[in-house]
Amino acid sequence: MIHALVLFLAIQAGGAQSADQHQEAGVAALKAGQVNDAKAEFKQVIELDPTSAPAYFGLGVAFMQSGDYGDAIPQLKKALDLDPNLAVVHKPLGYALLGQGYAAEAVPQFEKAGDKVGLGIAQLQTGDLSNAVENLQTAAKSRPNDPDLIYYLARASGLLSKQLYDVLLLAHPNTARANLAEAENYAALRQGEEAEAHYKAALKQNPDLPGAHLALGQFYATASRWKEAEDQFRTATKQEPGNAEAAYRLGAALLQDGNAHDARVELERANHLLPDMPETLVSLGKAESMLDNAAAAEKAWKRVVELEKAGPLATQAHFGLAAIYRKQGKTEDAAREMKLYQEAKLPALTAK
Amino acid sequence: MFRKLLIPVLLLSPALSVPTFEVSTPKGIDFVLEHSPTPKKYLIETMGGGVAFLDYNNDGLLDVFFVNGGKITPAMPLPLSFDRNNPKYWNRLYRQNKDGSFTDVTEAAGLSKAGDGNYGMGVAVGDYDNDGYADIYVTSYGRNILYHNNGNGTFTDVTAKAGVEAGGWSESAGWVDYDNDGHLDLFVTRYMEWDPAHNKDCGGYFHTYCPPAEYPMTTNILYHNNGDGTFTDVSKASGISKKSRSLGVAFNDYDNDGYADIMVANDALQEFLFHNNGNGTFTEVALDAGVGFTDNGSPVSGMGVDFRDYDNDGLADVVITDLARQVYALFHNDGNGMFSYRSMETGLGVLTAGSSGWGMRLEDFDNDGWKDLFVVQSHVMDNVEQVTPSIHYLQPPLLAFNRQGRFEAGDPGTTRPVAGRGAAFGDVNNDGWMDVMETAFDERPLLFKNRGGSAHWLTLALRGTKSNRDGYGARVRVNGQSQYANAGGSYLSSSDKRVHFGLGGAKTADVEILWPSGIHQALKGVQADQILEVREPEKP
Repeated sequence: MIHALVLFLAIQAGGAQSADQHQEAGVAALKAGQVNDAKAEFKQVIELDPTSAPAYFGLGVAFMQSGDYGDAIPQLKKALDLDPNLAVVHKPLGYALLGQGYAAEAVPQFEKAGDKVGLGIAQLQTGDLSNAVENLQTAAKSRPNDPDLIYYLARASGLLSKQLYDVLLLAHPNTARANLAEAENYAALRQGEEAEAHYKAALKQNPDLPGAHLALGQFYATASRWKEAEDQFRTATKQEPGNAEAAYRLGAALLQDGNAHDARVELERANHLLPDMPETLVSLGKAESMLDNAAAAEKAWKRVVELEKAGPLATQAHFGLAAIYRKQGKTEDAAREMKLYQEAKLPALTAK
Repeated sequence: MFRKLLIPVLLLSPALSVPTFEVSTPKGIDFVLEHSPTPKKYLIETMGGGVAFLDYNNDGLLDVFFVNGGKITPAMPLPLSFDRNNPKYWNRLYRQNKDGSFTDVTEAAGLSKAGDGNYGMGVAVGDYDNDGYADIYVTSYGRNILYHNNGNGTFTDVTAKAGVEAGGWSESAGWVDYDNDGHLDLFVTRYMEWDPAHNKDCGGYFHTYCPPAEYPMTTNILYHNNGDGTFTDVSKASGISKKSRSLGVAFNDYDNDGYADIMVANDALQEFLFHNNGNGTFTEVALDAGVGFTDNGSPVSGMGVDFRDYDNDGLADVVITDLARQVYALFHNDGNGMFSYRSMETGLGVLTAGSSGWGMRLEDFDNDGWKDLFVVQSHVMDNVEQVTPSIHYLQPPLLAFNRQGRFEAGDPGTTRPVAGRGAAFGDVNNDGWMDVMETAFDERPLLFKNRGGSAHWLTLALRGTKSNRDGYGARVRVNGQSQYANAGGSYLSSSDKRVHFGLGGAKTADVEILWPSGIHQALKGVQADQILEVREPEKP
């Protein structure tokens, strides 16, 4: 950003000869990272020409470059006073204001600058959560790997979610949905007894409450209460026969009980409803393996490693393939898969 | 060849009564397992608790030996003492009386002090000098001790002469004649490189015991019995010295080649299966054999281990206990040196997903001809509920009846949760029904006395002549079932060395024994419901 501003300042340089020279020297100093020299040069310009908007802008940028956002703000504001059409000022002024905690004041600056990132962050801080999520999501499309942006988007989404839950609980207490929301809150806080009680209360109020059986099933599965999870997932699949996640989760629960035959039926259904989900394919491979259908297991796991090059699912698939090949006496294939298993495992270990 | 001789498991009554258990601390046993938990969360505090069933005086009644921990203070000043001269921290030997009560004979037997600096862990029982009397090996954090049974009710510490001190942090140990020379050798698992000065504090605000990966791995030890009261450390030469964090060990001959193989339960690492090459060396084959990891390719927190045939196909399977959120790992022996992970198919997945298991054994508790699973349980972290409220530190034991290869929950006789650790298995009252002794922290031991039922049974007391005197390593087939004679397995514990079979409705049994010496012995039409001493023939 600084380079663009410096270039702009260089182009804008004008006025009396000596002021021009100072302006050019200030720009050069900024380019060279000599912030104190730049400040001195821009101050000289202002002394010679107190109406020079670019000089105030340059001085403001120099303050920002040295982290002095508080000192930057009046300079940048003065630049805009002198030249309201100096559009390039809005963005640094927005960040300077944001940096000093003046989020509400920063919003119009970011709006004028068309900066979705700054705008989203400022809106997050002013509590305008739905607009913050929208703007940050838009920004994230062009910067999907920016950790700061991901953080702010996650925070805005989480707060928006909480805000909506609060509205639900305050405006519609003791409803099935409120109980479901309470249950999920307690589950997130690992307060299992309270969570279970609210899930059950929600389902007592509305046994067909969409998503509730699936959520309760996941709660049971997390607590390794597989039989209860299976019952909930089964109800969820009856309620929503087109829901691939419900079919997958039922299949996975059936696998835990060793019921590979029924698990395979559900997992195949899940794969039909939403093809090529690696989680489904890993479990499908397990079901086939448990049923001694080596060829079908191999097919499922091979597809997984086509879809996922590393991570826990790829690790499981390579390990399963190695076991199949070992039992078939294909020692070279088994060795290859074990090597890939180790390699797929490594990133996870490194991360740990 | 041995497998071809098998006959199907049959003659099992379709309507056998399910036994119940009476759970109590037997009269005369006042031992309390002292583990000395501190705010510093020294890892040794949560790992001990060995127990052994043995008949040290050969009166035909099982006696019991308990390994105690020791005193730990937060400061843990050097040199470490653990206050083992204080009677509160002694190991204890209780002799069983004819009326089923017990008498503390610790002091009279010469077992009263375990030596300063030794925090007790486990016990392995075997007649290493073939004199007909059970000897005791105690493992510790510190120095391990071999107590020779003098045959007159007393024991002598012969560790120095025998050369089996080990050092470091030993866990489970077991006696095994790996080279079939007629002398029991000794395998000692060791956990990690740890000392109080390098103890770590984990869990942040909650202060928990650290996961094992926080400490360096160490090696296990194999001592070869020289036959003259001394042993030689053959760990490196034999090929078992691969570094790990080992907690449990069990023996069997999984490929029926006549040589004992060694299964080692490792904590959060790949498990070890040491295949005996028959020439004094082993090859670690767990990964190739399919017992290294679960079917996800994930390690489990292996603690207790058993190595027995749960599905009566004549091949030794493997069960490993671990922590909650994993499930107890069952590896089915498919033959040809391969195993398959079958925790889910056998029902153990659903039964054990929320459990943390330590001492355990596959044993036929209802005498229906199928080995059931008994596990004493508790999480490793005494404050686990603070971190994960759905997991519990104190847990009741698990009894899972084996219904032709699938396990179903049974009633162990109590639902009271305790911090279970060690478990020894044996027929305490010689009624043909297997009992269990559980140790638990800060508690008196619990005896799960099997009240029995209607099924028939047969117990064989093996007496080796050419083979080691205990007959450890004998492969025994009875009416289509298989057993491997050895007191080891479980966690830190040693069980009744006699070999027990449930016969279901059968009133007679055909017995085949393949002794470690290679001698094959067959007994036809053996009457059920008896404890039969079987002496190894002098000649094949």
